[in-house]
Amino acid sequence: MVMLTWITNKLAAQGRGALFFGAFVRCLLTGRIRWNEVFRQIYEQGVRSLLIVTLVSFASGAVLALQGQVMMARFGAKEFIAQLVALSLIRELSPVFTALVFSGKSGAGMAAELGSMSVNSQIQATRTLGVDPMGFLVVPRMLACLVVLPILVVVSELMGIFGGYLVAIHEANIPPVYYINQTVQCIAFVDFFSGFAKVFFFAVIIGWICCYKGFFTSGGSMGVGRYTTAAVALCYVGVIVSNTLLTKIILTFWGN
Amino acid sequence: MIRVRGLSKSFNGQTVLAGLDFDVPDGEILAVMGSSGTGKSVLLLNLIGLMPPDSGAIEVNGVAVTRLAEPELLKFRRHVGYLFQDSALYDFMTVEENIAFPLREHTASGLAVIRARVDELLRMVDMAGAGGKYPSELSGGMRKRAALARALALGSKVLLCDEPTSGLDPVRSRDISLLIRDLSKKLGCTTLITTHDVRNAFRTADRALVLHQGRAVACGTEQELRAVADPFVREFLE
Ligand SMILES: Nc1ncnc2c1ncn2[C@@H]1O[C@H](COP(=O)(O)OP(=O)(O)O)[C@@H](O)[C@H]1O
Ligand SMILES: [Mg+2]
Repeated sequence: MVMLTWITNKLAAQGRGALFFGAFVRCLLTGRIRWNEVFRQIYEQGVRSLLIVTLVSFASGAVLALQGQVMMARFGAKEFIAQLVALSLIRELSPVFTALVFSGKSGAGMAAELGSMSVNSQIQATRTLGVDPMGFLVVPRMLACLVVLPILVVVSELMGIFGGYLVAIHEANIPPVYYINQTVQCIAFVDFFSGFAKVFFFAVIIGWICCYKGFFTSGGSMGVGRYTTAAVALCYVGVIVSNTLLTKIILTFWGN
Repeated sequence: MIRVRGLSKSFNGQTVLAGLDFDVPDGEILAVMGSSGTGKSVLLLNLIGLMPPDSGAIEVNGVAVTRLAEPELLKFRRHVGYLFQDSALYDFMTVEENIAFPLREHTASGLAVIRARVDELLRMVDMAGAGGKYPSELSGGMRKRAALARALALGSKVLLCDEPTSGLDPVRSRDISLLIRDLSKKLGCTTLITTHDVRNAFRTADRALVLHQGRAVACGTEQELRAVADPFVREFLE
């Protein structure tokens, strides 16, 4: 019985989540888009995540080159470090790492903001002022995710390659010009595309989860904490699991 | 004119409102009094269509609120001012931006016109000069006054206030009570406030209604209520 209630509640929650997304799509298509809010959200989310994405990506690129140097040396293929670094980052690591960092910074920020607005009646107040909170609060945040995350991924790719470059030229003694040539030549459009296509999907998942959790937060400041952590945890799972599926799909169609 | 007939609402078997009937004639101020948890906030949420009743009819200035769907409710709510118990100002906007928000959303007025209107509203609630502050920089009383200005910005003729004196010291409570009365009368609003603060209820309202166990157990002017024999009413007014 308890189990049954638990399952019903979980299913009802999924249904509410789907309805929330449906309401967002309807509002996006039929409502007015508040561009000044969109730009404010782009700025806030971007600023929140930019520094940490830069740092994480630089370090990831550097560590790829450090490990790559050892591994490739075993096969006598040290000159392929550039390919290892660039392709790993562009095809897989930058999109996923950036989405995870973005969930933890900007996503948590969105969930906590909306959550505290919810427990302080500001979402209800929006309705009493005759404004749909979906259009005023959710649509700008979701659109901003779709703009900011792809930009951050490009930043991450560049910073990662830069990190790898510094390690390769100083530690592995690879000539700078050679490294840059190798990097530029090895990246085909399909590599970029197969990583980048996922990013839009991650942006929707993160925006959806964080706005949904924030929007329906209850239980005072304790509730804000609980719903925010739940949102971030769900984003991690969502990004990593959907990444596996997406990778499989993308490789099936654009395998080489 | 606000008309409520047979309004009922319960949550998981707990009856909160049980067939409530009352009217607020045009231009009158009614206080709905009751202890905490009797359903005063639930009543107000029903009146503005933020919560659907289980049964009963609600009419606000001729609009049958219970029959409206959300898009029509959003339009209807432009004509009703609502003051939340916790003020509910947007904390990422200054007071000025908060008050300008409904004007920017619903009027085609230019920046200068909106500015002038915001200044006028700030003066109305005695907050001239405080427009540039953020809600977190204000005292509880000032937040309530700023929220009142925002609620009145679109020129609503109906005003609903949820516990306007809660969390305020006696002096601020008196000030906001008198301010609500003063503005309601000046602007010709039909006003309903909820409160458990009997003293300030009569500072604001023309008549009061005592809510107990989901019903109106007494309704009338201060003198009329003091003459009621019902033991709960007598105890509540003490
Ligand atoms: N959304 C809700 N879900 C369940 N119960 C609720 C809800 N809103 C209010 N209640 C219950 O209704 C009763 C009246 O609440 P409320 O109207 O907030 O009282 P008050 O008179 O203090 O404003 C309380 O017992 C509360 O628990
Ligand atoms: Mg209440």
